[in-house]
Amino acid sequence: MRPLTEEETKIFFKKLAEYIGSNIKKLLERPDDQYCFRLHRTRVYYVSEKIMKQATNTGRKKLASLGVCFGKFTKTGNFRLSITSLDYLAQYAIYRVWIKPSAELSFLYGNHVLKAGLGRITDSTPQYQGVVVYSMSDIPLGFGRTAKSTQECRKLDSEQIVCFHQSDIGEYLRDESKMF
Amino acid sequence: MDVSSILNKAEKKPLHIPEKNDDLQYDIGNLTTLDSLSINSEEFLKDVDNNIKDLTRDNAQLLINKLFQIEGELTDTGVVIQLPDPTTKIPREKPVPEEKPLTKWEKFAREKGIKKRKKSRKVWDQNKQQWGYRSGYGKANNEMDEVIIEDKGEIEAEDPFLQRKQNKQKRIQQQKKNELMNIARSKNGKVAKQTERVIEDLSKQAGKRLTRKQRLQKMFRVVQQSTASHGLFDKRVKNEPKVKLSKKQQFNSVTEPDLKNETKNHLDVLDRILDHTDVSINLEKAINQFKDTIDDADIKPKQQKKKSKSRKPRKPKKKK
Repeated sequence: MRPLTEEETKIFFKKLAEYIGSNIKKLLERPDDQYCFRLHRTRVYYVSEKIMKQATNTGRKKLASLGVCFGKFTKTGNFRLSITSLDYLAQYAIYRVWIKPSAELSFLYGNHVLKAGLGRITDSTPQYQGVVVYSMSDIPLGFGRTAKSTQECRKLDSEQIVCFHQSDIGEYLRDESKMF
Repeated sequence: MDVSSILNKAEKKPLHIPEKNDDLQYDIGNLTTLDSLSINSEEFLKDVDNNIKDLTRDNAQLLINKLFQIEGELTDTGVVIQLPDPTTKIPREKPVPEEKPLTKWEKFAREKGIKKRKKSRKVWDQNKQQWGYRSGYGKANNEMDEVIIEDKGEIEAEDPFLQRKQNKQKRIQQQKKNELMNIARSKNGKVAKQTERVIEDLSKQAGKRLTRKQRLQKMFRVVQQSTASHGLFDKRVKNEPKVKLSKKQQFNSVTEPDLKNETKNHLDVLDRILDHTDVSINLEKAINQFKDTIDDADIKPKQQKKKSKSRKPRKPKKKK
């Protein structure tokens, strides 16, 4: 476990900003407690100061996890957000997509969101923008990227993809063994 | 035994002369002939084996005839002839030997056009009253052999004998050094020069001019690590300083974190990123609002456009 280097911070924030933009500030400056990002075995964790300090007592080999995992650095040095970060993404997301109850199951099996399943979408969402996907009852289901801008979505056929699937809460079941 | 008489007799009976035109190319030096014309392909193919045998016999006979034409010498073992030089050019088996690298003096001499003069191997030794070798063991005019040194008022050292010894040692050391330098120059002259150039560039970039010693030290450090193992398995020269690998990356302290500072750094990074990604005017949003207002009320588009453009974007609006 160690703090992120400046280069790592840059890569991480760039990816995070695609979903929550300048709301990253709210993650860093919280009124309740001091929080920080820590890197442990290529994964980035969002931890309170208290837990982080407790974790320093555990050896690197024995420490399994701490705080909330936001994702991991790939071996090529990119950053991948993981589904465990959904709590925070959903809180601060700038662009959102709501899907109809009929399309929920399909999305939770890892499929893209089609126009037919699209309930609502944030106004003026650009193309290829990182978005958080909600059910119509405002339960966050996962996140992805828009395939078309809001403007273009209006003209699409019902079978065309509106939002590319990246991650969904079905992964907690599907990828249980690989996740942590 | 006079062979030539036998030969003369044999020539009269031309049994050994095959019935064919002698249009062969000979290379007597290599005991070879080359027959490039004789094959009549149709007849030849009828009985290849015998045809080849006949042809070979005839040609071998012709070659041997040529050998007997050369005048020989009679020795104890029989007639011996001297073969002429081979004419066929055969490619050499091994590559052409590389030229020896020039020593510093040889290079200098070549540039200045200085040529070696032959010196006699032996010189006259006045003291011993005999000829002796110019150099080497027991050489002539060896000052080390002198038992008495005449003081002409030039001797400064306390012990002139010892000084001579020391001087000789110095000369030997210098020569050894020169030899080593010559080897080094010939072996890694290229590498050394390249490295030197790199270091020179680096020091220039840093705005510093290094002294020769500093440059050498720096170069040494570079060369030390220039193998696959970063010099781990290289043979060490005597008194060679240890290889220092480049410093490990230092991370901020884990156990005594300065969280406030860390957060501040994170915010700085964030500001830089957002500066790049944020566009101050969200054109699409502006256009949408503009269109909506047109639909709602009949206002002149020109005035409205200005208004909508001045509005700031990125206010999350959760409505389609």
